[in-house]
Amino acid sequence: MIDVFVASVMSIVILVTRKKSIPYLLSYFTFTSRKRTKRDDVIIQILFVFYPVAVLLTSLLQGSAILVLAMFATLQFQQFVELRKKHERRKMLRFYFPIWLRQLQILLQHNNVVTALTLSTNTAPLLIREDVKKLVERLQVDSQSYSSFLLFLDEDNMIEISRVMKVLYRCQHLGHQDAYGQLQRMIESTGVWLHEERIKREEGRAMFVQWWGMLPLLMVSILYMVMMFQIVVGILGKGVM
Amino acid sequence: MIVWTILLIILALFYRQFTKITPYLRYYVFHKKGIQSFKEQVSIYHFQYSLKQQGKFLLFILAAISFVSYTFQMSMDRILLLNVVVAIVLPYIVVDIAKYEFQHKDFLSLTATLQYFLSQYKIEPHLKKALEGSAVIANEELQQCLTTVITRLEQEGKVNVFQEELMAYKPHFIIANITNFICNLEQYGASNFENGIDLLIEDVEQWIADCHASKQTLLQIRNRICLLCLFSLIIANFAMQMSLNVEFSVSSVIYQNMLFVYFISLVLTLQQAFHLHHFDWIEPKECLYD
Repeated sequence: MIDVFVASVMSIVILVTRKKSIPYLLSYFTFTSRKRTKRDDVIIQILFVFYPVAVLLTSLLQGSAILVLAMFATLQFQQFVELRKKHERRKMLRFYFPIWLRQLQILLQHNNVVTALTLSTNTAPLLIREDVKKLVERLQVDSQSYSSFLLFLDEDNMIEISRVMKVLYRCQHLGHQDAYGQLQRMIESTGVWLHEERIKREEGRAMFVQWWGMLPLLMVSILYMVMMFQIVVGILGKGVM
Repeated sequence: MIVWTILLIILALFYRQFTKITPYLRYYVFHKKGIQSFKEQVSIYHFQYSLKQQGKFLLFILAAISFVSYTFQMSMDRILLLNVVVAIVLPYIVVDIAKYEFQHKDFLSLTATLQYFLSQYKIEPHLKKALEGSAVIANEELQQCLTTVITRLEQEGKVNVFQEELMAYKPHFIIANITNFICNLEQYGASNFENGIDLLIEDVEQWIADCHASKQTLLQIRNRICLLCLFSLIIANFAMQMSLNVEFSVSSVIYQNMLFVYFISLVLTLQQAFHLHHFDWIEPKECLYD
């Protein structure tokens, strides 16, 4: 009962604190790029801190194992949301990073690394534009710094990105001629990467639609069962008569 | 059932008198605005629309549906209702096909123009000449865009207009790469720009190959779904013929209703199969909207 009460109070609080809180929460969990405000944090706090505490107290009072499990699930849910967000970002990064990289590779054909990076800033995908700007700023301060390159998108911890950054550092430090082989390999692998990402996207799209083809088969099976059922009922009816 | 069917048809016919059109029913065939919206949409896709032709096509499809449902001994009221559903769904299929054809031509023209432009520029690095040459093979819309670029280049003398106009036309990342590269080249110059052009040409070629491969996959799925529909129809017919031999009553309400639901599912599945055409040739996610 307390659990239900807490949940009710929680929903009232959400509705009072923010009129559009439910659409916001939906958008929050569907990982839109909207920035979190303080009020949003309060809502999240209520959802993920007060609510589990209330559930814990309830479980202590009632000694119910189910409620402890519910609390555990609630706590895990937050982690799950964070993981999903991370996964979604990585997925988008896998799509947008090669796009930007290709841009950079073309500019690198007749520019040095810093100039190529600067020129690519305005047309870089929105997802990484700010990071590119920061990288350019860092390089303008110290263009020979290895850490400046490695700090780029390091939070995402993607091996492909760090590899690319190492090649770029090599190009910057030793010049294009020395890093020519690596640069060529990077160009080739980016082409393959772009191709693979396109295929993955198409597969995901096709996977969903393919299930529609099962609908007529399912319906015909039901139709057949209905017919059989009717025949059986008819035969049994005659037998009784 | 007859009463309800007639009532539904009347409601459908006079729908426009007491309700507003919704986005889901934007091509609603029994609504004046729906027909108008359908006409506008297909004309955007350069589809030759004629009311007579459309009427004939609709009648043919309805006759075919009526014939098939009649072979299953479906009652007349349900056949009528099914025809109403088909008449509502059909414009959506036509719009999807028209969109596919239009975008296919658009994509081919765009990529061919880009390839021609890049090769021209590689031979002779003169932006205006390359643009003039490419405008000849471009489609109407792109030709207009390129003409605007040429005019603005002559008037303003700034190379950035090339990027602005083309990005406004299609903000795809390959177009962004091309315009960015050419603008930088025109502004600052370079001695060995051929490698960059080669990379861009490669990108365009890969783009064409990937798009065609993905569309081919979707077409295969569509054909597979259509084939499954046909199979299910054959199975249903076979089951019915078999049941008739053991004194099965086709006039029972359960059978008739189930048959009707089955046919509706067939129509919706076919609509979804053709809806695969609505996916854009130029992937919106690859476009850099800014």
